[in-house]
Amino acid sequence: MRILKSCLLVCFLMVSHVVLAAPDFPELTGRVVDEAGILSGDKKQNIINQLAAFEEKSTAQIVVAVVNSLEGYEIRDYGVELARFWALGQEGKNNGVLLLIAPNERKVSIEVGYGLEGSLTDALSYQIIQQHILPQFKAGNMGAGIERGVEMILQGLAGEITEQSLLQNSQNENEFDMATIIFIVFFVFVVIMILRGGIGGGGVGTHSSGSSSHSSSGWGGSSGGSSFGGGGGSFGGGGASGGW
Amino acid sequence: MRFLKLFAMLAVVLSLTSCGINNIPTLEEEAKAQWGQVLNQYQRRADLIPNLVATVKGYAEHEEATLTAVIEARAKATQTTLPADILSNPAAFSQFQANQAGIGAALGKLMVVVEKYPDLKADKSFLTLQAQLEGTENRISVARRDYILSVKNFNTEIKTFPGRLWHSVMYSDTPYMQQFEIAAEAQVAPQVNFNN
Repeated sequence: MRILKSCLLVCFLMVSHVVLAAPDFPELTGRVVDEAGILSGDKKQNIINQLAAFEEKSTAQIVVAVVNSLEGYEIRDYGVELARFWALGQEGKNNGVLLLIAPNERKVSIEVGYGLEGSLTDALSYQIIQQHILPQFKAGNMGAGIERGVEMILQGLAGEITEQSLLQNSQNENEFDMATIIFIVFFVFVVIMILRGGIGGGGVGTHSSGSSSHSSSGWGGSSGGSSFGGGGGSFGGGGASGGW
Repeated sequence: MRFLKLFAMLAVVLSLTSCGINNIPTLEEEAKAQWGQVLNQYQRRADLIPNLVATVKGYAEHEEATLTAVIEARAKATQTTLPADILSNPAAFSQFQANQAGIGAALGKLMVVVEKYPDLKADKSFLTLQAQLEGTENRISVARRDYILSVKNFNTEIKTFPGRLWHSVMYSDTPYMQQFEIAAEAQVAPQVNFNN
């Protein structure tokens, strides 16, 4: 009996070992964690409202993090570890997204949970960063870039945009320029013809270029951010990154 | 007295689970799952290659040699059937690593070569493929890191007490798992340069 007892004691004393060599991550204080303090109160609240509304209707958790330092890590490595550390997205659905900005390293990345890789593909994430976030960042508009990025991420998740449609838009801009030139040439030609001697009327077509619809859709989930926490989602390296 | 005995038995069984009799199979399964993820992501990369090669070919006819190297590296990797015991078979494992590193190196060269073709770099499908390739390389490195960690846990469990004990008594047919080498890691990631 005594032997048994000591055996039990030894067994109970063995604690499972968990070793996690993680960088010193910021705390998940809400949907927007702005360590560097680059977002104004209004913008921050606006983003929080949009993200909360989106989670309410789709259960997907999107978090924006602006960190002071990547602590020497590559942004993609830091990003995936931070997203896992916060466990963004619902368990089982793995529907979390992290928009990570490191202003000091001048790097930005989008980390996409397993469950959302179908709609927010690597290529789409890349296009969102290149076309919508980086131009603003390069111009020094950090807040606008983040807002724009969030908006596009939400549209991507809702299936309203794809990498093809984004690329199409960027090409349309070029085509629009060509079309304008052709139109002007044609117009001049018509004017000359009219001046030369009475050929009547030239129909003028209206041009509609790709409008950027501002869908600041939502309130809805203005539930206090104090109780916000990750749902247990997992990440496997989906997404993209860029620098400016 | 009989009750006491039963109780003691129960306590022993319970305590056994807490002192790690199940750790070895649990960690083994975990490592195997991570290995599945590694294979999955390498497969994803291999699946991207035919499209990538076709797209590049359309613009860069003079890069036949580089393109052929990519195709051959891919063929070499996909045609090798992985033995079932690859995780405990050092030769097969390092062969696998070498094959994948071969693809990585060939892709790396290709990505350097495409810098010479501005039309190609502006091509829509190429931009998409490039972003997908970069994303896949990132997934591969995440999957490898996860695998490395889980194998480390598994191998440590077998080497240290009490796992060592359980291993020799109950799981002696479960061998050490192979680990990725860092040298190969450095070779694998091709330099995809997005800063035009």
